[in-house]
Amino acid sequence: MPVGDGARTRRFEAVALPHLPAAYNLARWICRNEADAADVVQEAVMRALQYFDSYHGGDARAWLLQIVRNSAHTWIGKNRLAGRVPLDELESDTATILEGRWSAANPGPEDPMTTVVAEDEGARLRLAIARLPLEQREVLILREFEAMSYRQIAGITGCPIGTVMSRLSRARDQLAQLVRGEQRALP
Amino acid sequence: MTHDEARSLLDAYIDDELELTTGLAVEAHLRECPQCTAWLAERRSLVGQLHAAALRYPVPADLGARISAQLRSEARRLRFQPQWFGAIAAGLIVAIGGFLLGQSWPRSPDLRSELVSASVRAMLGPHPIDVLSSDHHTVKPWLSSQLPFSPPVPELAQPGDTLLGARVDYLGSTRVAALVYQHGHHQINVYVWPRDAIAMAAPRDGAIDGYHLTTTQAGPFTAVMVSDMSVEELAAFRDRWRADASAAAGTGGH
Repeated sequence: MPVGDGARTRRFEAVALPHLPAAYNLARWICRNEADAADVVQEAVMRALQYFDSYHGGDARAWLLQIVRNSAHTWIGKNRLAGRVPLDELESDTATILEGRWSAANPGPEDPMTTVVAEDEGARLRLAIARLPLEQREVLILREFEAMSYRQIAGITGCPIGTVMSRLSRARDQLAQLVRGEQRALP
Repeated sequence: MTHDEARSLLDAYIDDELELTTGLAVEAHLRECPQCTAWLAERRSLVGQLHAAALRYPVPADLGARISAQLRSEARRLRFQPQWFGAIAAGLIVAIGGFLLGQSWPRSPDLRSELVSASVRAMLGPHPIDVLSSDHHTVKPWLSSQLPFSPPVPELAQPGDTLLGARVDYLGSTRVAALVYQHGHHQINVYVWPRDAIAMAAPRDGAIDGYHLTTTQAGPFTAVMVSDMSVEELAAFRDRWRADASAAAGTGGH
């Protein structure tokens, strides 16, 4: 055991750490906040180390992402219990305000966020994705940014493949609607 | 293929997730449906925009270092523990060992995380189910042919519970039956083994990493259910499962 643990940790690092970018990206999109996402990933990696003995090869990225996803959901649950403002509501309030300002097409200089959003197509998409309900958002992130198959996403999120399919379609529908709406609103 | 069917499959078509024949049927529809063709083009451009917009968040500069440091300190802690705490640990083991041995307590948490990991791993792997069938007349003989025992395979006739199939899994070095059920959005893995096959106490009910476990006995078998459904739902499922398993045994059913 004394000799093995250093080697075990090194083996774990070789398996898990290459997937740190995917892990952080997923946590960041679920938590919508940098500091919490970093904490979630750190906790998830330590948890993965605990379970490493039961990892017998295979898709390491999906394995790690599932642990990250569960940790992030636990984090969301804890925040709700602790009486903090539910993030989804907070986010959609903010988004409604922003949306009103976009269509007003006259962003006030007092709102730097609006200015950034108006300037940057990427930022607009980013906010649109952040507004998606969590269950759609995580599926979209795994598909579009991690290029995972429906089956892998089903494994990570614990949903049947049919549910993955319909959540992804609804997420894309909403984004398409938003992009179309903006094109009309632009001068 | 109708227009609505084709339309509902276009996302999966873009993602290359359709089986060959379904994909061909979608393509045949696209050739004669300008509406779907236009929709597909718009959708592809949206997906292209998403990929092009560099929306992934990069790992914060210090996170990698933070994690490596914690991993190193964890490894050090484990490595030096026997030297620093060797004497104390030995004393504790002697003092508590007899008590714990009687309860199989130290091994149960291992078995529990092993069961959860096994079901997570299986659901992530390429073959979560080796024999895909909702018919116990198919599943049970297959399991009997793979294992040195013939586990109960209740079909759960109640609406809402579906037997998806089974696979053979390992707990440590012991081969066990893993039945897979669907209930609502949740899947339930039911691990079944002869009570004497694994030399440790059946795991206590509990939760690990978002998954719940519950244990029951069916005749000479131990069955452990693992799922991400709620404790109450899982307990209800366990009771239905046990009722059906003993009903089948009582009527001599196989």
